[in-house]
Amino acid sequence: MNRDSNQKLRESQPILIVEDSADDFEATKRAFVKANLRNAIAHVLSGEEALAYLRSDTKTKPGLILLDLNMPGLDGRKTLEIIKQAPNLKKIPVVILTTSDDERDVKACYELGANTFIQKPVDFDGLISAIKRLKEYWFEIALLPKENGHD
Amino acid sequence: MRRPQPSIRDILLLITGALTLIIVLLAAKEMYGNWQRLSDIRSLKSASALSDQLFDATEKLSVERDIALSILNAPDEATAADLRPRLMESRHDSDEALRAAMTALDGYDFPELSGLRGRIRAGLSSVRALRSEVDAAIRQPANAHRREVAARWSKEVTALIVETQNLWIGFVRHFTEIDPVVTEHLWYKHFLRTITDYSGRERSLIGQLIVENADPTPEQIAQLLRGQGVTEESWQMAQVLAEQSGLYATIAPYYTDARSHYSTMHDMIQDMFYVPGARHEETYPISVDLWFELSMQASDSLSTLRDASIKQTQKYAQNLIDETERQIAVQAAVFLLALLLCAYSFRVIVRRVIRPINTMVDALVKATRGESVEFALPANRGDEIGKLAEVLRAFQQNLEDIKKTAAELDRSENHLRAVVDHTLDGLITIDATGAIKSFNLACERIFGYAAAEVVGQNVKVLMPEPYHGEHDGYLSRYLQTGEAHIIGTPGREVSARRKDGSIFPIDLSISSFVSDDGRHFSGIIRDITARKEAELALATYTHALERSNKELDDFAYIASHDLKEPLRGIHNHSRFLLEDNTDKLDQESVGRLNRLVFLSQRMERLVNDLLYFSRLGRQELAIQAADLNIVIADIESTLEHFLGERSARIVTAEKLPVVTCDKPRVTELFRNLITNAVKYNDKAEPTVEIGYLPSKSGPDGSVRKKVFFVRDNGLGIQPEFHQEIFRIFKRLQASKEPEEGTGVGLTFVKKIVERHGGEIWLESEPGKGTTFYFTLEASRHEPGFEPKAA
Repeated sequence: MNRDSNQKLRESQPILIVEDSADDFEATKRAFVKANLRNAIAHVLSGEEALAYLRSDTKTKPGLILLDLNMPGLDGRKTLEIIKQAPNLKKIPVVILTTSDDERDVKACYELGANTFIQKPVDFDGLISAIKRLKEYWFEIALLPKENGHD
Repeated sequence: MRRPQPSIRDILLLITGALTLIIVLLAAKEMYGNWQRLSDIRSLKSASALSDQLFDATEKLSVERDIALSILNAPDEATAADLRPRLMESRHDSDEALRAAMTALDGYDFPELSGLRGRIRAGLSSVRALRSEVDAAIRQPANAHRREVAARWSKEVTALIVETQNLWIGFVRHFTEIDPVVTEHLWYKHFLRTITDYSGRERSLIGQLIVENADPTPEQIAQLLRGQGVTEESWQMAQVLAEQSGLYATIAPYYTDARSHYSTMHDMIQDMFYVPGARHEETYPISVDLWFELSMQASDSLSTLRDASIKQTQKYAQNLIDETERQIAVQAAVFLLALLLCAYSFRVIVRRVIRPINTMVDALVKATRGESVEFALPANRGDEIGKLAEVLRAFQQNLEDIKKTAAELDRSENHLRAVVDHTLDGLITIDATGAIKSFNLACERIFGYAAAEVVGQNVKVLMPEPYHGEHDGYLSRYLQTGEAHIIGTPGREVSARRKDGSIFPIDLSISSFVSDDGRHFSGIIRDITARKEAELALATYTHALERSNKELDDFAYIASHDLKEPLRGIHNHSRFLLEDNTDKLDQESVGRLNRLVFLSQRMERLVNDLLYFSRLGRQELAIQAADLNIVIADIESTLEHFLGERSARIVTAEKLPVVTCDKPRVTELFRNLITNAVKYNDKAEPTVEIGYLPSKSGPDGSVRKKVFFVRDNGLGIQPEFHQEIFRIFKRLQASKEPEEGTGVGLTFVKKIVERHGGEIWLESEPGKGTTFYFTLEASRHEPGFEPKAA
């Protein structure tokens, strides 16, 4: 699989956003546009919905999950733990997107298998920058072949 | 220590004393012996004379006997009548001689003498009684009765003569013991007397033969020859004895003379009377007168010899006496001298040995009785006494030291007792059975028992269960195996029981010790009821504080998440409004929406600062060694642009030390101070000076050690704001730029300093500059990295 085909596969996969706040979802969606990230977006409002989506045979498996930590019901941590323990789901990269910059939260998320961690800034420009960095990493840097050519 | 040398003087003194004592005793004995002898020797002088008197007496007696016998046996009355005056005369002579001898004998007294004397007296009275019978018989004509009286007379007188001779022999025997030489003299005279005796018999026999003009009968010749033999023998013996006794040299002429007289006489009569039938003529060619004349001449020469001998004997005796007296004198002198020496030795010994020893003994006896003693001891003596005195003086010193020590010990013991009694901690000692031996005042107060109530009781009475039931087991196990329950563990918390039965916590330390009467245990007891209550209160407060911290933590979390979410909504919606409706909004609305965006951003910063501030107070410091020179260099490099824009520079006055601290926090501290110093500065070239002072007076005037400072040449701060500026969100100047800080920098600085256990204060002169001083007490300066003068 070469770099271009890989990139195309990534672009074809939807991004699942698990976010209970409509305001934050709108901000994220707008930031995606500003960052020129054109993947299809699937939006669920809770951990339960997210798991239901991921376990559904009819839905396309997402290429990336953006997961809010602080949600009523099954919160982000618990949802992350379940995803990372499910053999068919654990390979999907999960980005934690949260207001908290508490070190304990950050550390806990990485321990549970989160791939990266984005703090939601109050400043919208900050969010755009964060999404741009995510896009760069995820669709460009992370796809670079290793020097010896293996993937 | 030098061994004491006995002085030679003292040894000599002792020997002299002993010798003189021996000499005194010997001299005294000798002197006494000589004194005793002296009277005997004195008697020797007269002994010779007495001896002769005794001879005299026997001779006179024999003359009287012979004359009386001649008369009694006279053939006729005429002859008898001729002889009668002679008889009277001889009777008188013998009486005189006997009386003189007996009188002389009275001067002597020795055991044998009295018996002999008594027999002589008896013999003498018998002889005197016979004399009257003889007189009566003479007056009668010759008859049987006369012959019978003559025979009895002869027998009695002869017996008296024999007794007298015996007396003489006893006398001589006595003197032999006194002086053998004198005895030789006496025996020598005895032989002279024997010569006289036999001469007398010869004289009377021959005289009778001449008178009777008769031939000697064979018996008479035999008698004469025997007499001649004895006489000759006596002459020889006398000479031998005289020579032996040393007498002969002085009497030799007299001896020779006397002997030649006797020889001449004998030569004349030898042929006439010693040979039977020698008378060839009618009458003897010698008259009786001539015969007596010759005989008396011989007798006279013998008397002369005898007198000379007596003189010599007396002279000898006198010499003996003189010598003995001289000996006695010498002995007396020796005795006196020795006595004096002895007395002197004794006195010296008393003065030099006995008296010092007595003094020392007296002093020791007094000292032993505990009296205070001044030892008057002999000084500067190298001998044993001197050594003894030294030792005693040292002993006295020791005694005083001991008294002093004892007094100090007494005081110390009283002091200790007072300390034990008044110490706040209870002190109990028990023996190996658990019986209480001592119980101090603090124990009385702690337990409510009087010492007298519990001393002797088992220590269990002070213990509640389970200790009460198990204590015997602890004790026996410890004594058998050494396995300790509490012993040796300092400050073990256990519970105890008061007299009123109440249980209370104590801090108990037990140690074990062995004294003269076996193993003991001592326990130090502290009533920790109050401490336990305080500990409980402290635990409660700590718990409350922990809960409060947790709540603060939760608050910070809530603030970070829940407050920021709506804020973010406000911000985003404002942004989206601006973006989506640019053409519909008027200028004023755009301005207000922009203001909304700005304020929401500012509020986010405030919330973040608040959150950070709360974390500064909560999070553990990551302590590590940090070289402050590197820290400052890093800051300088980070702020390069900021400093360059303002033409500011950082001056590190001297080499800064390495400190152990939370390096990122301390970096933040310096960065904040440096930023402030440059920011609030109206000078063309803002200058920040960073330094270190080993000591510096603090805001209250007292000295602080290891002080850091950050000095600027900026605006300065009015004194009324010196405390104010550390308050959170406090700003002294209105913000000119929208990017200005929130006013938390100095608040963070103060918090970081306080988290390091330090203190921060400032000195400032408005218009000239400000100096912030701070300490990092929790930090420790690494050895070898002390700052050096630049």
